[in-house]
Amino acid sequence: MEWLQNPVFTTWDSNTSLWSNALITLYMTAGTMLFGTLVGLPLGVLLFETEKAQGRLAGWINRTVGFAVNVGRSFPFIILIIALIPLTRLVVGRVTGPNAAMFALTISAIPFLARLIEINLREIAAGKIEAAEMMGASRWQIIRQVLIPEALPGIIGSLTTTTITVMGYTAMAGVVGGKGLGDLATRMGYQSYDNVVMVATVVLLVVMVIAVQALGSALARSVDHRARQS
Amino acid sequence: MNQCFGPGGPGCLTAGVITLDGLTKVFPAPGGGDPVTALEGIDLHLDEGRVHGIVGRSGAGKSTLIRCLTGLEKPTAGRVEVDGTDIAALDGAALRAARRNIGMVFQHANLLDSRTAAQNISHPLEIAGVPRAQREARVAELVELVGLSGREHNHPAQLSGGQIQRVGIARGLAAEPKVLLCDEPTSALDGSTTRQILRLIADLRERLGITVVIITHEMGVVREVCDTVTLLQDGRIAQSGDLLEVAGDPHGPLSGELIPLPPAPTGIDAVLVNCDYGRTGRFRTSEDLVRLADEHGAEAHIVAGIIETISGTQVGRVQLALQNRTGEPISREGLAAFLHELDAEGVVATEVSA
Repeated sequence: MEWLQNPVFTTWDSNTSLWSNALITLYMTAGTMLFGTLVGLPLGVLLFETEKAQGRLAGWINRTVGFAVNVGRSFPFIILIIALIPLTRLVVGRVTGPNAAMFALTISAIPFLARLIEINLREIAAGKIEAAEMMGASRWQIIRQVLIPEALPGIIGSLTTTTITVMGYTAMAGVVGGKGLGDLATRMGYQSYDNVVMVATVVLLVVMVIAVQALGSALARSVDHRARQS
Repeated sequence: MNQCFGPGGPGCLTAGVITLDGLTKVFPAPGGGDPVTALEGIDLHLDEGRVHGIVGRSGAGKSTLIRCLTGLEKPTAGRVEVDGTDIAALDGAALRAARRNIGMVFQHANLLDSRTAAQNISHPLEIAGVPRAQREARVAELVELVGLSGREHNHPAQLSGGQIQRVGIARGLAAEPKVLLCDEPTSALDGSTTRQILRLIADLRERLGITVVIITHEMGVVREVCDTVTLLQDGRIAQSGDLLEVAGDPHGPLSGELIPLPPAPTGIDAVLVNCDYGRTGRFRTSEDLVRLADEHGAEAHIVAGIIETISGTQVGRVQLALQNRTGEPISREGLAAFLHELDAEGVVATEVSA
């Protein structure tokens, strides 16, 4: 059991420790999801709403937001981090560390999430929305009382998927000194030929992904009242 | 054609709860072809407290009509008046307020899966901003009214098709609308459930005095609950009137559809004649037709048919097999004389070609 004595297990220094880097990964992921959802969810609703509306303004908003979302999604993340550095300095105040990485992660998670939410909303039967319209509901009432509750199981699924994607992307946070499990595996494992560190980080990441997925699925199930196809 | 039902009589001045005046809807064709005229000059007055059926094949304009009634579609021309308000002229908040006067029941109910039956019924009240306590009292009342007691805390997925439609009807009634619009309310239901739902609608009209409009392609629905019926054909009103009047008029386009003839009998060596009779002079029952054949020296057997008595008047479509006394099919001359006499008395009689 000599491998247990590896500093990856025994230290708390974020340069070497599995534990502190796991917490950093969780911190970056949670923060990204918090800010990403705050912007991505309304953006997804906006994409959905402006798609059907007939006004010229709506069409313009839909095309503009859609374009921004497509550009955001097509950027390779590693390039995005670098490209965002000036903006990161402006918003976060510094260009290195977990918070700087979190900013870039959030920017890349927003368009991804917005698209997924738009797809979730499209799955709502048009008749349900029309029924609410005929009850005299305003757009805002329809969003709050029909769109979000009806799409909630799907939205939770999208949030779960995005969380796991973000977790994977944190591996690249090392570029701006963001640290985290991916960075640890690259620096201490891959580049230093330490298989113990590599295996330990990968195993921990797998466990974390499985846990997030299980939690997300359970949550989605608990709010899903649709008939089960079995 | 100006249709007016109810106490006012033909051409009456008292406006019905729903008044359509020259309603026309033209859709521009996608891709710039000829525009499609979905509705053309519809004039219709629907009176308060009655059940009105609007029938037609798919594509006849039924859906467009209902979308115009609820303001989801703006008419190209004409007025759509519901309870004294011109729906077509409204927009925004005023239109939303006017819609609360119209309860709507859909073919597939369109309930929200995320809400329980009670929460679905309460939804229109929430939209209207009714306080919680009042909402709960009203929902309890409605659950009782539509016969859903004990199931109100179930989600739609846990309810049967008939129960789901009961929730849909209760939801339509929640905001105490003047008019209940039902768009194919029973088309997704089986026979016995359909009858239960129709009985419920008839019962509600009785108890609440609400005006009901049922859009349907099922003639059975019209026969069962409607007081008046309007046939749409290619965006125009082909026939319209009180059910009895329409069903009893063998010349109209609706009577045949209201009382469909069963499949023609096979293996009979006789001349077959279809007869539609209703409120005609001499021939009031199927026996009268048989008697007439007898006067012409032929034997008539009713081999297929549907006979109904609507408000005391017999209305029927029967198929007669005509033979002479020796069991041979009757002669062409005899047949012509027989048909001529029926025709003179307003019975629609046609020979069935084999």
